[in-house]
Amino acid sequence: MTQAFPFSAIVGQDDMKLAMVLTAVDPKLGGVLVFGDRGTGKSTAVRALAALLPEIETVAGCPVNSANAKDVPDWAVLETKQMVSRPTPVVDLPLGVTEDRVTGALDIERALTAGEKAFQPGLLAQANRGYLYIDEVNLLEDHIVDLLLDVAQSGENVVEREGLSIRHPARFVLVGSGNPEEGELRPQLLDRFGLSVEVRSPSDIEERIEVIKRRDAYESNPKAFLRKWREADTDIRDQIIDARTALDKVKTGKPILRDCATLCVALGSDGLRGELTLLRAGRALAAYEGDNALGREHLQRVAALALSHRLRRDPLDEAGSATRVTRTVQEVLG
Amino acid sequence: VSKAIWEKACLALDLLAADPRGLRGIVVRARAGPIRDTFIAALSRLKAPLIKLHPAMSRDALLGGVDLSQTLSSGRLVRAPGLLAQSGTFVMTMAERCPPDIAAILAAHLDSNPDMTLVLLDEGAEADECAPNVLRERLAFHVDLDGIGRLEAAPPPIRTFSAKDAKVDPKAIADLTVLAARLGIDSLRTPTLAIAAARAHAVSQERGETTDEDLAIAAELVLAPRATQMPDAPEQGETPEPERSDPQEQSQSEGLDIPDEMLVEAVRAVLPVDLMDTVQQSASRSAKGSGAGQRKKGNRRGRPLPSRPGRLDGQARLDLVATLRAAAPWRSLVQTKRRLAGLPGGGGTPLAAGLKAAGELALNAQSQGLSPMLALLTDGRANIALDGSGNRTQAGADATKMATWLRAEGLPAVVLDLGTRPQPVLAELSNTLGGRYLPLPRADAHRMSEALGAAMQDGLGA
Repeated sequence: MTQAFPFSAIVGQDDMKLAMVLTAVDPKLGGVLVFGDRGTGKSTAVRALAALLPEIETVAGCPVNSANAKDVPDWAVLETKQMVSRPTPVVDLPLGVTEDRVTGALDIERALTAGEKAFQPGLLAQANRGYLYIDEVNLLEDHIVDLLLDVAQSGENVVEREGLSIRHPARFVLVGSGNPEEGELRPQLLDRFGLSVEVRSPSDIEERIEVIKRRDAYESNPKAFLRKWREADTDIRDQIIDARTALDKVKTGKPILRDCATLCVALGSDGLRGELTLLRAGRALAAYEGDNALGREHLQRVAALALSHRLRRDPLDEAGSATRVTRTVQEVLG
Repeated sequence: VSKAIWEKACLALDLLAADPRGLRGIVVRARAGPIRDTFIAALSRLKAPLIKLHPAMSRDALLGGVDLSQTLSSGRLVRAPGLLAQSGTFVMTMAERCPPDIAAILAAHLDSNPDMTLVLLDEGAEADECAPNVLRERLAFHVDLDGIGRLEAAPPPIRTFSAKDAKVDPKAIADLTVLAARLGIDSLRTPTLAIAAARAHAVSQERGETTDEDLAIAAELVLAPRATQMPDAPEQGETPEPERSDPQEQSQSEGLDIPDEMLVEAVRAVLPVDLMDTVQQSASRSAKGSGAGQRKKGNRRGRPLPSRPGRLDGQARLDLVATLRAAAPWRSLVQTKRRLAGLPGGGGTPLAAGLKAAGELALNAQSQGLSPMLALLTDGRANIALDGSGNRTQAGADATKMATWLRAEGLPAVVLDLGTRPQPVLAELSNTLGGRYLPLPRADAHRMSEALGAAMQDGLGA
């Protein structure tokens, strides 16, 4: 596996980058959905973000990457309880994956050799405290998507199968990407993703040329390219680490809460998840930019990310939903 | 002409052999036959061994999995390595039948594994029957051997190059990128592949730097097969920038918009004359994306297959309810007739509201895997607007708007005209809907149902 393309070297696609950074600041935001054309750097951005994130401290060999010895689940047999640091896990969920591979299942080997009932952890365990990336999420079997969203929301994987009864923490950021041409995602599922981004091929010629030049430079001499961008990447990483500690201190005034609610009512978004996500995303942005209070300008910038996938389809409006959100934001927040 | 196609295909293969890491692979579109056989024989110059893949392969065969018989007999877990664990050149036959999940696995493998080379043998007969786009766009060359007559084919000469790198100057990168944009190629993977092709061609000519000739070859081989518009057509998605005060910047970017005319000519020479027709066709309602999503959801369409030997791998499930339903008749014609008779008739024509309701119902059905079609029975004289007011002009405008929306959603429609004299307004409506217009001046229930059935066969089968 080659080294990932540096996050800071990705040209344009600011919304996508911002959304990913926000989930790194506040993993509780509930995942990102990136929908758009082929060859726009969706996968590149996910891998780049993973390479950029700070390492995590875990108990060596723990199947769920526990942060300390007492969190190690009792079904995991570990020889040592030594702490090691490792890169933030990014687990790929391949299409056509089976449910037992996702949730974990009976360990066949131990069942056959020792006659014991033991649990073999699945991808959800591996992804704990990290990222779970699904390319072509719209082609994934519905029951797998349901399961993933459920676990992503509750932060716990409950396995009741083959006589096993196991629960283990599974807190991860779900990143889904896909091409709408291949099929839409059910609205119920759309709503469960915290943020959504629509990416397009850049129409600006200069931007396109810059993308290709950087890609070419990266491919001809990856080492030199990575060295060139290391500093910028480190800056973003430091900013994310700072933002994580600052997140709890971001003040949220009553007028801002009112703004959130007014905005969601004006847009007619279903349920209250819209308000909550908008609030969280705004706070994460404030923390990331070093502001100590949530302001209107933060809401304005994250509104399209947090709300555009929660609107009802309006057949008479030809503009995309992101445009509708921006328009309403201008009307409501001025 | 066929000699030129053949030589170009052979050149593509040579370049791929020279730089498999940069160019990733080739899509060969050809029906089985001696010409394809000759070409496949020439694949031997790619990195050995040639590993055959088949679209119906299971995930386990590709990625490896538990070897059940070995595991049971030896009493410990035995894993069988998958084909993708090998290194070599992967050749997929009948690539046009490759399902999306296998395509996604291969695409992910291509992305994470720079040493993988993939050859897709595409035997698609129709324009929209082709190898998955997710793979096609990752492979540099797309060659179509179907235009070649039998006699001209001769085994391509084998050439080897002393491997060395060639420099590409920034102007060349910009030229290829701009040209790709002008040809309407959205993906940014394409220019990168074109640059790699130019580089490989320079190497093949023992040059240390790319020249215009290399760029022209790259444009011809990589860009031209993916073009979706003629290079002189206005750029798609180009938006005039609001204000640019810096005159220098303006002139600079204007200069960039016109890459070397030589490059444009090189591409134009190989673009099919009927490019616009094919593009329009593929953009029409019949080919909305690859349709994979719709197919995947279609668990309510057709009769479920009987059980077959094999392993349940998360993709196949037996649809019990559908099986039972298929076995017993459950629709009552009488009941439907009674329900229809109960509908209130007469009054105004809220055409827009009707179209809206129909569209919503159809989209809902579509999302459940059905293939809905709208059949319109109306006099077409809209007199109630969408907001319920009795404004005739507004009602007409609303109805047109809704019809345009239905067309944009790609819903097939048929307008039945039951008037004794054909109504031009209905022909117009069906035109707006992009549907069929069926005048049935002397229709009874039986004939109407027959005509509708025929229209549905046409509309959905196409």
